[in-house]
Amino acid sequence: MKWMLFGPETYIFLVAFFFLILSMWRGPHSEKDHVLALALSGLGVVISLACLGAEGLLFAGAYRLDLFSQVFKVALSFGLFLIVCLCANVEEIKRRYRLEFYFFLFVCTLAMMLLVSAQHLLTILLALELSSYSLYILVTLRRDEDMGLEAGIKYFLTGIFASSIMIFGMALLYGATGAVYLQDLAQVLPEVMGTPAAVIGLLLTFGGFFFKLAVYPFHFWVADTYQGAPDQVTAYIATASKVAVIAVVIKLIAAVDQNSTYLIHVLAVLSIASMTLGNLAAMVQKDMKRLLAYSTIAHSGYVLIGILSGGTAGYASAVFYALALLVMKFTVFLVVVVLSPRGKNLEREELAGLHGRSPLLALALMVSIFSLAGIPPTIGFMGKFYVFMGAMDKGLFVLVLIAMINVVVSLYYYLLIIKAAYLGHSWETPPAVHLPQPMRWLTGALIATMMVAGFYPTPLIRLSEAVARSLM
Amino acid sequence: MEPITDGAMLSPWEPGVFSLVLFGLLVLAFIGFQLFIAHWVGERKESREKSRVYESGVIPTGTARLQFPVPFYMVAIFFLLFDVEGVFIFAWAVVFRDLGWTGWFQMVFFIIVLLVGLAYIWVKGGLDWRESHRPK
Amino acid sequence: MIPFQAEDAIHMTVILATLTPLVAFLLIMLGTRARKNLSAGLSLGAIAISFGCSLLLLARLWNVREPLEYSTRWVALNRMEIPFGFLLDPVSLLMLSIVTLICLLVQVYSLGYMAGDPGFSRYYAFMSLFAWAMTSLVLSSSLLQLFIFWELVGLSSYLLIGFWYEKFSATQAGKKAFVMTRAGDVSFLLGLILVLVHVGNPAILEMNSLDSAGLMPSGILTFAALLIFGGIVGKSAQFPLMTWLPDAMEGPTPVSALLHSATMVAAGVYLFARLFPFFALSPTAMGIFLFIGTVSMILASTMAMVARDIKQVWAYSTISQLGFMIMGLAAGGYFAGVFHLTTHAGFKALLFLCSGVFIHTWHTNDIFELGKGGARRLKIPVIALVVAAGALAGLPPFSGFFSKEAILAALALSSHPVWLAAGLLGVFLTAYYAFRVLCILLFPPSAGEEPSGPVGGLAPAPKGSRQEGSSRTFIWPLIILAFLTLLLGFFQGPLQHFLLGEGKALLVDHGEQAGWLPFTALFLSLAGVGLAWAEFGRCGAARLSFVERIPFLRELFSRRWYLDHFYHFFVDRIVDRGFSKLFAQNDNRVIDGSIEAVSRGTLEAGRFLAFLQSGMIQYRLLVSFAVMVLLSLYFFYRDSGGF
Repeated sequence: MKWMLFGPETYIFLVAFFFLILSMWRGPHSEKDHVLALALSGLGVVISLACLGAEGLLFAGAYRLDLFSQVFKVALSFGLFLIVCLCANVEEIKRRYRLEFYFFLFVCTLAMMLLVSAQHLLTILLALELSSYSLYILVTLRRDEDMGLEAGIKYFLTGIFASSIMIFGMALLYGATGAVYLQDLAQVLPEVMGTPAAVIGLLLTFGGFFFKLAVYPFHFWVADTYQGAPDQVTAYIATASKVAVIAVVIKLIAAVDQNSTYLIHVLAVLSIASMTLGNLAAMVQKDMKRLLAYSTIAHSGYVLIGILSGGTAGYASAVFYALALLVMKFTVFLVVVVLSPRGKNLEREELAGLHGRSPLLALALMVSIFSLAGIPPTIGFMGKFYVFMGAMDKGLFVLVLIAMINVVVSLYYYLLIIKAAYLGHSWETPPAVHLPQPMRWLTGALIATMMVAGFYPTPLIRLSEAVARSLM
Repeated sequence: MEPITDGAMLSPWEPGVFSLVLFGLLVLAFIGFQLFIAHWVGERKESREKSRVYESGVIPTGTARLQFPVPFYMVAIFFLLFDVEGVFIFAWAVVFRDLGWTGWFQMVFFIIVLLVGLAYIWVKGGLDWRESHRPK
Repeated sequence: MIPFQAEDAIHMTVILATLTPLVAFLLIMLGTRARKNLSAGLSLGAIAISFGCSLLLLARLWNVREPLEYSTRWVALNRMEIPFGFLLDPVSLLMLSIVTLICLLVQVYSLGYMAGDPGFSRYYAFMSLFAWAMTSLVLSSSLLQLFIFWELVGLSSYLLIGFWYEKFSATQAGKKAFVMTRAGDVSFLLGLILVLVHVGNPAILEMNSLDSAGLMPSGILTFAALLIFGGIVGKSAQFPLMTWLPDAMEGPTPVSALLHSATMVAAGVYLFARLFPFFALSPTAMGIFLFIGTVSMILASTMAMVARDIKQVWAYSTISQLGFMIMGLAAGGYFAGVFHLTTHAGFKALLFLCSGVFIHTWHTNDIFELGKGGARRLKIPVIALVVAAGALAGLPPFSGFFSKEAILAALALSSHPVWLAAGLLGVFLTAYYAFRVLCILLFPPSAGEEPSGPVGGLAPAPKGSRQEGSSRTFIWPLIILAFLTLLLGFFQGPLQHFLLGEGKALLVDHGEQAGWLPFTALFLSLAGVGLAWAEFGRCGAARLSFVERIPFLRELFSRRWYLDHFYHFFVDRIVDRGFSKLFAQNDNRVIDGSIEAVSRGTLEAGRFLAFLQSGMIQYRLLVSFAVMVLLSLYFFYRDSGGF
């Protein structure tokens, strides 16, 4: 009966397989495929929810199911569902690859689900690679070949580089400790923490995840990839993929961190560098997706603060922040996807007059941007507050101070977006945006989520704490 | 495998990093010295023969930057892919009896996945050599 | 049936007072935006209910000594619990009444002022949002809750300032205001977290109790107090974050009246009063507050002396009066500060609303033009303006006189006479600039010759039906506020009793100690008034102030002591030209270059390599690798102490 524990993964795998077969069977049929994918991914959310309580070990201990992994699986399948919601109009994807597009989306989600449960270094590596390779291909599916290909190649080169670093790191780690399971690693590592092999190995291992998380110094694929990828794929990378990586980084750090100041310092340095670099670079961006890419780098920096604070509080805050990011980033991307002109990226100035074109979208944009900027009473503020509280508790005052200064800097470009949407006016008035009724509901629900969770975050905080506790 | 717990793994000598740096510098100096000597002592005679791609071989014709047919590349890649997958099957065959039915089912699953991949390539025209058979 | 309890009644009233504006906001945003009158009606009704409730509460709790707190657990973070609820004590009740009253009056006033504006409904929606945030801020029982509404207030002010988006500069101003106050808020949040980490509970009553001194080392306590004070500096536009307020004046005048004089910027001072016992635990911090208040007061007064824009004069005056309140509070005069906060809200709103009438009629902000245009012919606004200016200058029997005396008395008790001297100087300057405006408006040079008709191309706005119809909504708020300004001063005794309670006056009555003080202050105000009259009012006056005769001072004052230049310099040079250019260049060279490289040709191998070259991806990867290795080496050697 153990296979029931593997329910969500099996289901997602079967769906992916189904889409592969379908792609051989018949040509793409945009509308039908979308409804199909929507239904199947919706069912995926239900199945993951049903398996929320699953606990146990699979595959000779290489695969662990607990509250931590199951909550993240729900988040991932939910993220997938949200992204599929955006795919009603996939004009940007090359027509002949529309079915494969869904196939890779599902495969990637599957890989990330494996990632959050993996306990064995090799399983982690495989899951990470599987998700990365799906994403490399997804990125190049853009109709505009030049953009997609450039983005894909940059992503791919950085990606394989990071992977090779990670494998090198894992090899060193294995050499130093002789352990491949995370739980064994946690036991052996403190003894060998003084050796260069262990230290360098650990850091290089993290390199692979920092690449996915878009942390300095593995950040530079982000801007190009976000810009060149189809909007939906960018949204996917920014939301679901980030959530999965945050989860796995939390898991890894929780396993190896034995109150070592060494690791905290490294993470603090990377966090500060990411925040500062992301925010400063975002200030000059005109392309919305590029801007969001740099803001992603900055947000990865904030998440790292939560992770490096450690302890239940720190991990819980990082989990909270990850879930918050999922909602906020997705809302911004929803607006971007809806507004994107055909075949091109959305420019910041093109948001002008959005308030008149679609008040709902403008409101969604405002709330989500304020949330990203960490202005109360939104979910983003609670996330930042939670993260900073954890760090202050550890006495990392300087780090929090730098983060706060970064928050102020980030306001600058966030406000430019709001200003464009609300106060800017364009010379020729573009037509009003027509949103189908389900999308209206979705947008409304997202706005409500961000606001309600900002005012009453207790359930979410409880959940994050429970998740973090299941790690310890 | 024995975990390596020796603290001074990078440097067997006591001065530690100093020796590493010294070693690095020496290596650099040595390489530099060699390059310099080769440059200084070596005789240079430019001639057409000498600057050929293959100095004493086939005389090249035309430019190297010509277009290769993509199908060639694709077939090569596919071959490589399935070839490497074959290695797993060999490994499995060696311990076939030890793994029993579980192993057999796992390998069947593996092969099915491979076959689906092959079918996909086939249906999508990846194995067609000629241009005219491009998929829709 | 559960018997109806008095407690429940109070509870319900509080909820009613805070939530009705929110309901109005939501209703307007969701449903009634297309129908102007309904939207305005909703908003007005909501704020009227709020006002009624706050009066009810004030009357009901007039004699209750113990602060009432209704709170429930809101968030449990880590090991601390953050409550959410209402705190009813004299300060919050007083502030609630002020806020709702001013909101109500300003909204009535706006009926006329904003009539015909395309965004009329939206304006009222934001007004309601502001009212909700502000009332909730006032009644917050915990500091975190207060912070959230504090930010919401800032947000709605951003929306209201940027309201007239036809004006480009208005949006710039909105941004500036938002970013500058945010800078303060960040410091506030840091202080808040610091307190939270040490005390473990952000409830205001908890912080104010003396226990917090035991829980925090005195150094940290001072630090936290200073950080929280940073928020006050940002919100109340004190030195050195003072320059946003004058620029924020570009929004509609009622908004300036509401936000930037009476309520929102006063929230900073309110927070000071709210946490007064906490701040008082750290004498060092109090000393610094006193200094900042003084500097802001003097700087802003000098700026007000040369400004020509009527709203800017009042903006500077607001900063200086807020500084005055902070001086009073920091010197230990709890009642004095709160009392001045109360009276100031009344007369400053009055000043702005009067100016609004002039601006609405003549469509200019320049005081000289307004004077020439014949501002003196609008009888009621002029009378109201005189009353308000008198209060601002601290002339008896207007309310400002009494509250100013209270602050001066508090300053007289402070450690060093220099503060008192600064306060007295401030009194003089205030009286001078207030009456400078008044004299310019009332006694234009050509007063005798051309009392009517267009002057200098500035015709009064066509007296269309709109203006006639709206005049009543203009006038009534003015009259009410003028009466308030006249009468409020005489309620000093009861208010003091209400705020401080029977026996526990925080400050000894000042009457006997410095009998000379009121007379000196009065004399100085009169001197200021006299000087203004001599320079601007009397027939044949030079119409040139003594400051303007000295070019250096004029430059210094009108350029705001070069504070803006400093910020500009900082932002321009370091942020815009430094970092941004760096990144822009990087983008141009590396990224755009590579896009071009790719899009120029198809995907030949050579092109592909060229793209790699121009993208320089391998160097970047090398950098990544080097960073990782260097980091690990560095920390390895640091950790093991081997190097």
